[in-house]
Amino acid sequence: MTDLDVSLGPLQLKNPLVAVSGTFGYGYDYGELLPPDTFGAIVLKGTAPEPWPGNPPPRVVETPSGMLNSIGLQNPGVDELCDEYLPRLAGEDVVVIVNVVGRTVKDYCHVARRVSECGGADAIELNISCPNVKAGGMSFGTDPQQAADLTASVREVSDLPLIVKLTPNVTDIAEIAAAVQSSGADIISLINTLLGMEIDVEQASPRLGAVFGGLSGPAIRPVALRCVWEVYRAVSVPLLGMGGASTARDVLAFMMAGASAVGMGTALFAQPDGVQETLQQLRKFRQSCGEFDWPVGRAHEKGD
Amino acid sequence: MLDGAEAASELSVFGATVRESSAEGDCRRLTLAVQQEVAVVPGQFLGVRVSNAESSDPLLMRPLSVADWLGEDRLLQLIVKPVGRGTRYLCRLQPGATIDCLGPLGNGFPLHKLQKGKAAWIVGGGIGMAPLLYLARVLAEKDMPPVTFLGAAGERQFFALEEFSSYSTSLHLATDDGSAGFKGVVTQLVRQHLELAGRPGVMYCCGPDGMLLQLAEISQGQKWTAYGSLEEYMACGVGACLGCAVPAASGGGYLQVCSDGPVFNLREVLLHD
Repeated sequence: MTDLDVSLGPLQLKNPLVAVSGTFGYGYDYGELLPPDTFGAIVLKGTAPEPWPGNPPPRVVETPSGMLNSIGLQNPGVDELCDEYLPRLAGEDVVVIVNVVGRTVKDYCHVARRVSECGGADAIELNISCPNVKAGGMSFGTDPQQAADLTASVREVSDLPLIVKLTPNVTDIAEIAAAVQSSGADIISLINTLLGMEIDVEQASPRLGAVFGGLSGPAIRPVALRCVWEVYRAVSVPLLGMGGASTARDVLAFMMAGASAVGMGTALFAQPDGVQETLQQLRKFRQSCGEFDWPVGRAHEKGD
Repeated sequence: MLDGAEAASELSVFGATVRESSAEGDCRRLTLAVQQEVAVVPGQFLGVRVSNAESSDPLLMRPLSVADWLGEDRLLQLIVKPVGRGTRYLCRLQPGATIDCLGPLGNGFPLHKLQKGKAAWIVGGGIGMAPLLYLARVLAEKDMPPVTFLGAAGERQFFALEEFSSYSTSLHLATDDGSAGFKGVVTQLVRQHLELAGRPGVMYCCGPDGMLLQLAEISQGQKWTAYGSLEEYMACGVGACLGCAVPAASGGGYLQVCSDGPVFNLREVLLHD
């Protein structure tokens, strides 16, 4: 344990920063610049039962203080994850979370069971919130009953701590959160990207090959904070907050809204060298607080 | 990574100070002084931050190929065409300004096939000439000077012609408007010369996808090996986000331009006009 440790339900993280799924590959793409043990936890790329090819390019486009992506969950499938990527992370001083995707309940259960059996993962994150796939993905995350049923099904096949990742593309995110909590989710992570698009006016054409994509980056931080705030009030399980966080102030804002740990994603692309600085700033904050714990939910005291 | 490609060295974010910014046709040539060794080889690229550290807009680093690296003096050269917000920001930078760079990124042009004494041809189109300038110098220094073909819309779109000429055994120009050299596309010029060439050699190419597609066909017909450096929108630049995809020629999936390339054997990828 260090001076920055946090508890995220059953998980103990040595610092509150989490590299979010789809932005950090399988841990080693940034080399010595950003090794996996920089973070309290890393969430690996969304993994399906079989390899998925992903969407046609262009897959990314920059937007004001943000970006849209339509990667489409390109991944090599759970067998390669278990054979190649999880063993490589054995012995790293970091909590390893596998993001699980599928088109059907059976798909999710297959991946969750396989990951639980093969070892190397400390938790599973159910991705019921990806806007970039046609079947499965976000369709499970927009209906409370479907979200609850899927969570309950996966709960039965795996003993690993279960995180459910929510989409903001719903009318009432707190309702979905309550539904997955009641079905056995240990932790709720939020938010996934906001559904959006961009048009190339010169070409009179959508900029993304898949037309729609997910918006991320500093532009969505106020939306993410609002969602964390609402869900914090609706559930008792701990929250992993994410959506546009890049600085230590952003991390503290997410905590004050109710997050126990905070994900960083698009910020890694923009400033891969900024993570150490963020940790340094958080250390300073912690020292200035003396004995006090992290300010999880503290803004709610003044928010009524 | 291509067999025989120069290996990438340790990744870092480093600061660079603009030493000089000069006009090169429609582009700017930025000469950047850096404090550290940057083991970048021809064909590799950098992520260049296009806002100051306090700003999140524009958000993403711009992938830019290295037009030269003068290791002894620790000077990097970039040739930047002002086409969007990020590149315009770079073109406005004055001497003394500092920028952050991430790199070296990607895999360079493989040179191993040349050791058998094969001919080396360089084919560049538009801003695609930039990484080939560094390659041409390295080939000349290895005593394997290339035959160089450059294409552009018009005379004003060329840059560094004297340098290309000094590194090459011969330099052939093509312009769409006929304002310099051959009037027409550069691939037509390459096709003409290829019919007269002796045993198959190696072609190093960078330019628009349409040009690369043509060169893939031409080279294959004559049993030449063609390597092309591709361009795609990127987010991370290191292979983490899978944002820069190009369809693979076999297997039905995608390759990542940043980490599998940006230099590919043109037979490995499916390009579109």
